[in-house]
Amino acid sequence: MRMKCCVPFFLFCITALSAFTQDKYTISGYVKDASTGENMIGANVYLKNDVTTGTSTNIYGFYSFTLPAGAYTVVCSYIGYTAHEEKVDLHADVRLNMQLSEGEELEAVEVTAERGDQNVQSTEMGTVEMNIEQIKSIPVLFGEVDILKAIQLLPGVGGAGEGSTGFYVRGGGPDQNLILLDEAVVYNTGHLFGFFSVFNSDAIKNVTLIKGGMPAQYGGRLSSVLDVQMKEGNNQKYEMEGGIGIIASRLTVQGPIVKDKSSFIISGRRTYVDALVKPFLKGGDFEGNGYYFYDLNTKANYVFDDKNRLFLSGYFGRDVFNYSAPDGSLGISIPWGNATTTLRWNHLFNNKLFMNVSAIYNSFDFSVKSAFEDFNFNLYSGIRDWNGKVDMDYYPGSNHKIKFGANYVYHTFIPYSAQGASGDVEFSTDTLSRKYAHENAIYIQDEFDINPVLRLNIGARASYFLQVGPYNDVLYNEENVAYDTVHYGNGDKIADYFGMEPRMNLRWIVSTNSSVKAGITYANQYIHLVSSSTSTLPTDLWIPSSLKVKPQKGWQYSVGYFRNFKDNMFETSVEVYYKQLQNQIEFKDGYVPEIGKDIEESFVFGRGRSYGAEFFLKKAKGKWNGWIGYTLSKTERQFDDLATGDNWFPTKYDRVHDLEIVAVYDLSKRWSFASTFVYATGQATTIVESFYVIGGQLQTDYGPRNGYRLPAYHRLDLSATLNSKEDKKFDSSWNFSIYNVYSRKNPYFIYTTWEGDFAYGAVDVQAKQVSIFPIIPSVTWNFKF
Amino acid sequence: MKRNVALYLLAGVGMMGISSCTTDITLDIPEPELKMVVEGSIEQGLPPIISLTSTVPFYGEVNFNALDNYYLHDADVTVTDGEDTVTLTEFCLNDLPDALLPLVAAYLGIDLDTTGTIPINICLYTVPDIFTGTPAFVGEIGKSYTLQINWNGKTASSTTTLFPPVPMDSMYFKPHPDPENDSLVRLYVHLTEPEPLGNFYRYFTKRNSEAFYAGYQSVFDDNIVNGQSFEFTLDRGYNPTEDFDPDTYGYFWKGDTIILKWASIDFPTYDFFSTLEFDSGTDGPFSSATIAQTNITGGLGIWCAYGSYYDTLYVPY
Repeated sequence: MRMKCCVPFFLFCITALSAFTQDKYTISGYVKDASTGENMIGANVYLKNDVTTGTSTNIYGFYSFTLPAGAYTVVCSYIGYTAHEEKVDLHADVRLNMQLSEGEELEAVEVTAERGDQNVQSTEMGTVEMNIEQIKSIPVLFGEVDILKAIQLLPGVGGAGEGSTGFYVRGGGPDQNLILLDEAVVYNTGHLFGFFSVFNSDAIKNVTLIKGGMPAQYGGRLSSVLDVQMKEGNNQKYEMEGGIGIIASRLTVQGPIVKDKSSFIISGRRTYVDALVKPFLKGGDFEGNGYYFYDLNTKANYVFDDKNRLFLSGYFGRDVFNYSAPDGSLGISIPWGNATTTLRWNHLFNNKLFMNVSAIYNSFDFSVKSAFEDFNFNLYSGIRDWNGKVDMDYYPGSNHKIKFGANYVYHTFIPYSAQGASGDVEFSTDTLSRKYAHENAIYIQDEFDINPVLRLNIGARASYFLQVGPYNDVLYNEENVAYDTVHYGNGDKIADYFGMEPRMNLRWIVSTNSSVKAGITYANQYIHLVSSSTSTLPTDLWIPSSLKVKPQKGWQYSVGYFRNFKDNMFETSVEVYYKQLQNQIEFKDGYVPEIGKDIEESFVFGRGRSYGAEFFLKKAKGKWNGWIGYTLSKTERQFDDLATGDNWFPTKYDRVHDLEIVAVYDLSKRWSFASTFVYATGQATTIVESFYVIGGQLQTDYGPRNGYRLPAYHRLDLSATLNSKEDKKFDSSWNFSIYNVYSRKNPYFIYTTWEGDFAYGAVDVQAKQVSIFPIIPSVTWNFKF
Repeated sequence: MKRNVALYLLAGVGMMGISSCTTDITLDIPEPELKMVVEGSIEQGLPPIISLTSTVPFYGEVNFNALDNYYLHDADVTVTDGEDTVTLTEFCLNDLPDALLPLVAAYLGIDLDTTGTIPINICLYTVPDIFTGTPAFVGEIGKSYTLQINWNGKTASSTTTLFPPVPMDSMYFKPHPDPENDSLVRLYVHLTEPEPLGNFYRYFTKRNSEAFYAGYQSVFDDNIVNGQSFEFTLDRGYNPTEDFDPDTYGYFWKGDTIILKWASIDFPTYDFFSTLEFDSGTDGPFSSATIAQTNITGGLGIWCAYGSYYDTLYVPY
């Protein structure tokens, strides 16, 4: 069955490859920002007199397309930049590197021949690219620009809770998002329990979110891809930029190492609240507490020649929480964080074949070091990946792209390994709990025009996952007692899974400014996040598929209608989707963490489904711009081994109504204003339904799983930005933000509490709601020179 | 317990200068079906004792003044060990002679009030010959006990097994690490944990004339200590009616006479108490609801057997 699918696909490729003839020539090259030398991702390159013929740059700024011999005017455009035109007399292959200059935004409307209908023309569905400047104009919490909060303002993307960077895409769990920073997986995206993301916006160039119709080059997650690219560094001149906010400050330095050939960027951020509040904690309940986080992003690149470029990028971030009891009896230190390193080599074999090879290391570690009297206890968990990738872009003709590649990852999982010592007695669970796995994938995808109105993007990804030893598989009986251990030696196969993942997107041009698109995606997910929380916590744990834990699998079907109005000033779309998910994971009823026991023993497995409709209206140009997004959706799960049995129950990711409004007003060159409003159906939660008494204490009996809805979430934010007067040497701006303008008490969680003495007959029970962020004004000063 | 973690984390957030706000709310929930709640135990040499109540619905604000209403009266309760069966009789405190009250209070884990009485009318089911001092039906090591309850057409049942006690090697105390708190001591024990894997324990402590109180986290398994000989500390049993004091929590005082009850239990009992004690009544952002895993078919609560080892320690001044 699988082979039958593949045969026509490869026939397509072969036909496509043989379709071009000798009197066609290739125009290829890089598109760069004129002032910084940064590669431009997703810039459009097309013919002036036939805007439907063309292509866009890949994530390294490279493009290529092939045309019959002749004279052409090639246009290169990018939102916010002045379009660039170049006359080409095509009688041989041409290398055409182009540079774009930042345009006068207010005049962007006037740019003629701009192909602004990428949303209608492309086969991509559910894909949003966000420019970092666009993100910076949105109001923020505590003055910290946050890309993970910005994407929650898009339809189909739900926030995990008040102020949280955790997000859910089309009803998928937070672990079903593939979050990449320069191709390295970022496993834990939150600082301070998820209130701030690990992405320092000063170091970020581009953010792409793919909600559905995931291309075959991405794999390993069911719901979405968030692809974040770091800036490369200005290769023209030195620049320093930074900001001072109310909780953190940032500083970025970038510049050429060798002009036009090589550049670097170093960007850092650190919170300093710990230093500010320390004097106030003295003598209080929180004396001895300390908390801070910091991030460091670095990147350097070197252009060897027109065909070879090297990039080295890295990220390192840590949260640190310390506590030492004033009397010295107890000391705790809890550091956690991510580290990533990516080495990439771009190589151009010829005008049509582009290759990128990446070697990536990434890790997330969490540890607790505590000492209480003569008892020492250390807890450690984490995940480490060694990752190798080869990606090829092949451009056989105009409007025709083939991508293929291979990927190998070696995972090491360290779930809660504990070490303790009390006097002379020591114990360690480290060797028991580590897990190792190989994840492999190859993929190919082909995007081409079947005829002038139909464009097909078809692809497949084959993936293979292998869990290997050393590992001790402890077998438990019904009474939770280990009765045997199966020992696996170094490299021994424990469990393996193979998956064939077809992907297809079809676009049909209905009229010059409208199209219908349809997509089918199948994906396997071999690693899973274990979390009993709804927000991003440092204790979140990643585990591999194994004998007991099967890979998550998901189908997604989507159909959309896209239409632009008024010369692409307004972009609109309606997308509907249906998702079927298998092997979803929940903790069993009555889960209690147990040290020394494999966490796999605590799971139950079931299925999920999610469906919905997303409506999007965007005004892309003009003094007034912004968007309105609305999503109507439902997300449910069914688990045989939970008390819910055959019944479907709503997941925590279910938001029936989800509305976002973003409005930006550029008053003048100096002043701009922005406002966001969000509304979402309250989160489904499990609540106490009745009480009973055991051991002289009140105990709680719960109602149905996720059977109660918290009150709806809504909030209005405002911001204003004041830019300094134009100065060639020094730019600065003030950003004033007000979060939660009307101080809505949004529910963060609810709990029940009781007061009084049960044994003496009078106990008052009360449900309480905790809200965390009332109206919060903030101010940030940013500078650049 | 988890709520404490959540609130502690929020306190951490509060350190960042963020003020959180808590408001009373009324939950709009349909009236739930009432369930039968069993709390029963048997111990070697002691008869079975069962308290039978119903759940108390929680809609909005609830007052427990009328707790008496939640005792289930006139139920048919039997316990069998496979050979002998005993039908239990219901006793209510209001019907008992005052002389028995201290005994009953100690058993129930509640303190008498200043007038020497128990302020609410607790009702229990136990063997009819309980006041003879030598009841015929008492727990025996190695036997399994099945409880059967019929009340108002509803039934509940459960079975538990009485495992042999495991003695402590020794029991001693160490002073508080902070010399300023030199009146406080911490209880230590040394245990040689027997093979094979699969032993479960629950402990209680009794301080002077107080009742036996279970620890705040009262159950243990032997997953990481199986077959080992080791020292560990036990928190003082936690009196649910006393206000929580973080400075003295877990400590005993000089001059105390400490009685430790270290009981072998079966897995369902361990599972029940570990889930019960882990649960906090929240389903918040940092945790999810943990449903106490009852071993009662047709109800909530626990029917358990204790194979108890007792040891006494006097802490001199």
